[in-house]
Amino acid sequence: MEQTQMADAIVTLGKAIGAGIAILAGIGTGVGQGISAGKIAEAIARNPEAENRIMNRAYITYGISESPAIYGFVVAMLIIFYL
Amino acid sequence: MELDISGLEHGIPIMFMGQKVVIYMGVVYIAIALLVMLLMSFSLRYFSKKQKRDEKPNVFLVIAESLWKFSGGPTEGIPDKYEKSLHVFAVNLFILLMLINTTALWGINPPAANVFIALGLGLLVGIIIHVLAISAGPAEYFKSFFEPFWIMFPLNLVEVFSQVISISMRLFGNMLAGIVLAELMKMALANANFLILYPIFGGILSLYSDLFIATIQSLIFMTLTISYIKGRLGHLIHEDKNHSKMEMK
Repeated sequence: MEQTQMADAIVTLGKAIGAGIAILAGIGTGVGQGISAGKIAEAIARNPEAENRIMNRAYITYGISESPAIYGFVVAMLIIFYL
Repeated sequence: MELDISGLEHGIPIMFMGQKVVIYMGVVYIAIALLVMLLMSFSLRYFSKKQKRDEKPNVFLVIAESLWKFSGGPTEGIPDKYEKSLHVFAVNLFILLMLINTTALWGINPPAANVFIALGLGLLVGIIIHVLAISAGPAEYFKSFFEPFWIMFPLNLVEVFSQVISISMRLFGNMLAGIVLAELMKMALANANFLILYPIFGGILSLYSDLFIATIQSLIFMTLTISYIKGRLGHLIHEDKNHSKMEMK
């Protein structure tokens, strides 16, 4: 009985470490979207009339470029609950 | 810690060809959304036609025109033969996805939180893209797999699957994240003993995740679909260079 407890503990340890590493995929999207936000601010400051067009494009771009972080989240969920 | 967040909730078991098949509740909600869309489209068309020319525009006419103009952005560069039908397809896809993703406002888990339903939506769209591309010119379709160099054939083949999977997993991940955050908020507020905090924090979270994220993700799904179609129909676009696109708007 002690051995199965030990085995379960090791499995949980593996899951926790795996899920933690999977969430590191958010680093890239944070940095990338931050740089893009800076460029957006610069562009709006240069040409305040184009704000609507710039913001529309910004929403779509952020939604698409957030995908890798979301894939990491999905992988973490799969590891915790279905592995 | 066992969270029931999978979205594979209840289903309606039916006997189909001797096997017991479970129809997930998400599919039932999609069917309800399709019925709502049917009702909406009939009422929009009927009340738009009843509009007299010298009166103030109807609410229904304004809604119809705004939806048409809103999805005119992605569908700009499409060859003339498919332009109108793809525009209609874009509007319908967008409205369907909006109705589906915002069901969390009514207390129902969004159907796209179920990985099979999200994959089903992606497969539907993937099949539409390829059938349309093949029917518009099979020779160009098969030639496009060898496009820059013949060595790129495996990568172009993988791109087919990666488009479908990326477009559906993006939707799935966003909706699942909404559910997980809501469950976390419930667990966090359960120890707080202040009932007033539920509407405040839960409401803000719901506004963000059920209105904003739902709208953005359905817009992105529609835009990417039309963009993939434009990429596959690229050979038709070059032929239309002779037509002048400068019209008086």
